[in-house]
Amino acid sequence: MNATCAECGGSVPVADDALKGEIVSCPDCGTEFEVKEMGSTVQLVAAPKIEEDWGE
Amino acid sequence: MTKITLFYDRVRWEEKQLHARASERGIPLDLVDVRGLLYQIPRERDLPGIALQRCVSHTRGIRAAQYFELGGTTVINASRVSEICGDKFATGLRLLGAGIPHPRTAEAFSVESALQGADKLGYPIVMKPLNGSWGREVAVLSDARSLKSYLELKEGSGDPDDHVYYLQEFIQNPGRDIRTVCVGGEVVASIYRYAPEGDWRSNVALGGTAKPCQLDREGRELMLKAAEVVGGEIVGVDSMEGPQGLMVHEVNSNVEFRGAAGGTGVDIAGRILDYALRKAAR
Repeated sequence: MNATCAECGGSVPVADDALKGEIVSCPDCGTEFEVKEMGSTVQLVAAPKIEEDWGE
Repeated sequence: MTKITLFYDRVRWEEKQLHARASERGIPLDLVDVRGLLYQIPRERDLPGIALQRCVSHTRGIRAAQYFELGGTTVINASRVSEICGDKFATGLRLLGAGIPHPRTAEAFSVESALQGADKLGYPIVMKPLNGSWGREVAVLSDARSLKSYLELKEGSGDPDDHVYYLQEFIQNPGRDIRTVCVGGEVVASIYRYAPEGDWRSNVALGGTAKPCQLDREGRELMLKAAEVVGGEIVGVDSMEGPQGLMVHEVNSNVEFRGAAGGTGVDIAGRILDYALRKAAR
């Protein structure tokens, strides 16, 4: 399914098996989004920025 | 079948693989986004059973592990493991105590001490944040002048973590390091990680490329020993091929294994689930 990019209005593809918390990006402008809800429709929010304590 | 809880705060390739493998095999996997939890004292919620701690945030991961361990959850890796692995110097002390080759390292809390440490270790010198990852803010500095400039920048920061100076000797190596994924006391995959063009760091997160690595028995035993001394059940042990042989420079308690899985074809997610189920059955 697809969602609309909040940044440029482009179409953001979201795989049917996407999980909540997964990161997707707009192919047009590169903006990253986090999948907030998956169901009959998909809800995206701005992806969190990388924080100092992130990693392995 | 035993339910496995997976603590997460961002679904990376690894968490998605764990979810996919569990679904294929009918293993109940309960994904818990720790960002939505409320930790209270006294406790109001327990999670009996076993949990995989897979948070990308070190702080959030440790807190989830601490909180639910107290309520009887078996968390892999345990909070204590993440505390050690999240502190490069504490990791180095444990490796040293076990006789595992590790680059010569110094920690300092003042510019003067850091400069002294660099003089002892020699240039070029590698500076790393104590608890950083993905090669972030890792710098190699060629002389005292460049180190002073680096330290001045850090001194200007308001973050006290920036005033802990972790210095390490630069190990001449063949332009690659070795990532070994250890699960439950077994080496499941080893890869060479080659630095991308124009960089000296080989982190896959920075564009490093992976190729399979066949460690000999001695090498495998060294990696398992490194995992053991930090108490790690599922870890990524990073080592370098120095002039004197393998040196372990880091142990990752929240190992990202996309490169190792792709480079070797090993179903690492499946091996992790197998281990969690074995542990739950004990």
